[in-house]
Parts: sequence; C-alpha cells; structure tokens
Amino acid sequence: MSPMLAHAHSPYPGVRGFYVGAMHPLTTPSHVLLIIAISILLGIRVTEGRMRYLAAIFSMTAVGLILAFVLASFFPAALLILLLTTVLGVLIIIPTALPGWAFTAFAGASGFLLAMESIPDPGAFLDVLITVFGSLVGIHYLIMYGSKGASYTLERWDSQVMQIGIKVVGSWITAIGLLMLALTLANVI
Amino acid sequence: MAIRHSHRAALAFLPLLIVLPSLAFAHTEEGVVGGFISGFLHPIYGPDHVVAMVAVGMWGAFLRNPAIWLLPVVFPLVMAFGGALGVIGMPLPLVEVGIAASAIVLGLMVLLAVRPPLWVAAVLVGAFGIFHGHAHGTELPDASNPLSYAIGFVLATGLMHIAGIAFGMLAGSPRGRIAVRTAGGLISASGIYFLTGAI
Repeated sequence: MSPMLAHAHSPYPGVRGFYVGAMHPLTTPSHVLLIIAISILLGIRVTEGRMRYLAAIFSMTAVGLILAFVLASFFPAALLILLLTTVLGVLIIIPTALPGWAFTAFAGASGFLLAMESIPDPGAFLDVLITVFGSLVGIHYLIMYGSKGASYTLERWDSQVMQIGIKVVGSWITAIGLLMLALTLANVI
Repeated sequence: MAIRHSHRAALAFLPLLIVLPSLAFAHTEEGVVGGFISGFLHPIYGPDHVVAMVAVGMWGAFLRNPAIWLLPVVFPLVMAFGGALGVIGMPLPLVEVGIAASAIVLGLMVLLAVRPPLWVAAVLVGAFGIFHGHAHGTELPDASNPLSYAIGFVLATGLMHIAGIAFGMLAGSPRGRIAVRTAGGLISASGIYFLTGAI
C-alpha cells in the first residue's frame, strides 16, 4: 500500500554532488539547530535591510568555503557553532534592541561557520567545486527561506500565543545548545 | 460543516495506517534517528518526569501572564544546566528525591492555588529543573547519538509543558478550575508515591 519512494537516477552528471552539498547542512543536528536559530532571530527581529544580511550570509559562506580548505583541520567550527546557537537562542527569548550591524554579523558568522564544516571529501576538482557550490547555495537558501518563513508566520498569526511560542522555542534552542556544548567539552562527541 | 466533513474523511482513512509496514519499529533504531527517539521517549517513559513537567505548565497557566511563558522557558534552560552537570559527571545528591519532591511541591502549588511573586515561582521551578536535567544528562553520553538524544528530550519536555499549559488554561472557568486543582492534588499524591520509592 505504501511502497518505498522510487529514487530515479540523476539525469545530469554532477547534479548529485550539488545536491549533496546543498543538503549537507540538514544532515548534522548542530547545523540544523543553528539554521533554525538564525532564521527565527532574523525573521522576528529584522524588519528592514534584509538584503544586507542576505548579502552577509552569501559572502561569508563563500569566504568560509574557501578558507575551510586551509583552516578546517584546526579551526574550532563545531564548538563555535554551538556557542553561536546558544547565544542566538538567548536573543530569541530576550527581545533586546540590537543595532542592525549586529544581526548582519550574526548572519555572516552563521554562514561562515556552517561553511567551515561543509567541505567535501577529496576528489576530482570539478566534483569538489560542484559540491562546494551546492553548499553555498544550500546554506544561503535555507537561512533565507527559514527567516522569511519565520517572518511570515509572525505577521500572519501575530498573537500572544505566537509570541509565547517563539520564546519557548528559543528556550529549547538554548537548552539544546547548552547540552551540546557540555557534550563537546566533555569530549563525548 | 466543512470541518466536520474533513474530520470524517480523516477518520475514514485512519484504518489504512495499520497497513503501513514501515511504521513497525521492531528493532532498536540507531544513529541520529535512534538517539532522537530514545531521547524523546526518556522523559515520557518516566512518570515522575511526566507529572512534574505537566505540573510546570499547569502552574504557569494558573498564574497567567507572564508566568504562563516564563516557567516553561526557565525550566528547560535550568534543566540543560543540570544536564550539563550530569554530562561532565559532576555528582548531585538525592536526584530521585528531588524529582519526586518536584511533583509533590508543584502539584501542591496548583492544588492550593498558590500565587507567589513571579521570581519565587521561577526559582522554585528552576531548582527542580536541575534534578530532572541531571537525571537525563547522566544518560546522555551512553545514547546512540547524544546530540539527537538531547534534542529529543528537550522537545519532549517542552511538549509536556504545553500539554500542562493547555490543561491549566481550563482554570478560566469555575469547573475547569476545580479540575485543574484536582489534577494538582493527584500530581502531588503521585509525587509522594515516587518519594517512597526513591528513599
């Protein structure tokens, strides 16, 4: 009654690498959590100048993907992702009035850190390039659509319950971030 | 009417769920999914956790704004702190007693309709959150995927708060108020039962 989905073969050579790169942020729990956190924060706090933070995400993701080939082995991206996620969770709970450049910085930092953990395995130059391009597009679009979705949800169903829900989700993000940090510092993961 | 029709249609298709073979989880899941499921079920399978989580939501709803959102926000944050203590192996005495006491005290707060200052309620809920978090945290490192385990148990905790809030909002009506306070009494009584098992 409910057969498994038919996964057809890729019609275009190289497309699979692009998808692998684009979907990579969704395969790691800490990356998903950071994308959710920055998307909600940007969606609910930033009302104007959205092009600025989208440009920051794109440019800093590109910088991160390039630098990752050199710095990834010793740059503590995983730890910084958890730290940033925890901070963003707190900012979702507490409605602090931050300047616009702070949101741009958070957006850029998110893209940069996600990129630093998104370099593909070694392979043919073209394959690696396609996968990296997939990561660039994936990170940018996930945050862009996530923030737009959060913004739309708040505008469409603006109510006290929604405001409470956002704070509760912020506390969940912070709690999970704290636990992940503890796990990382205790060398469990 | 449209809603009723849609409900009927949904109910009509409900029996089809039993023919979905992929829904039979006979074996233990591993990896990210396994960690999430075990983390999500951990607080649910512990009735001492369940009653305390629900009581937090009920008391928050009973105290109204801003406690209705502040208590469910404070609890997971402090619980995560307690969880972190458990992860790094820092011992916390009388964890099970603390968890049982949380059910007794929070249940009593609802039963007696206690309305302390907001900060007192937050500190009380937060203090108990440390015990619950520590209990989860000590099991985190052994989970098949600690990260998704953490996500699972935080989400489950939050959903139980929401269930408590939903029930606690019945206190807006006279009969609902009786039902909520009675539930508080039952939670407190179950806490006494858990305490006898913990000592």
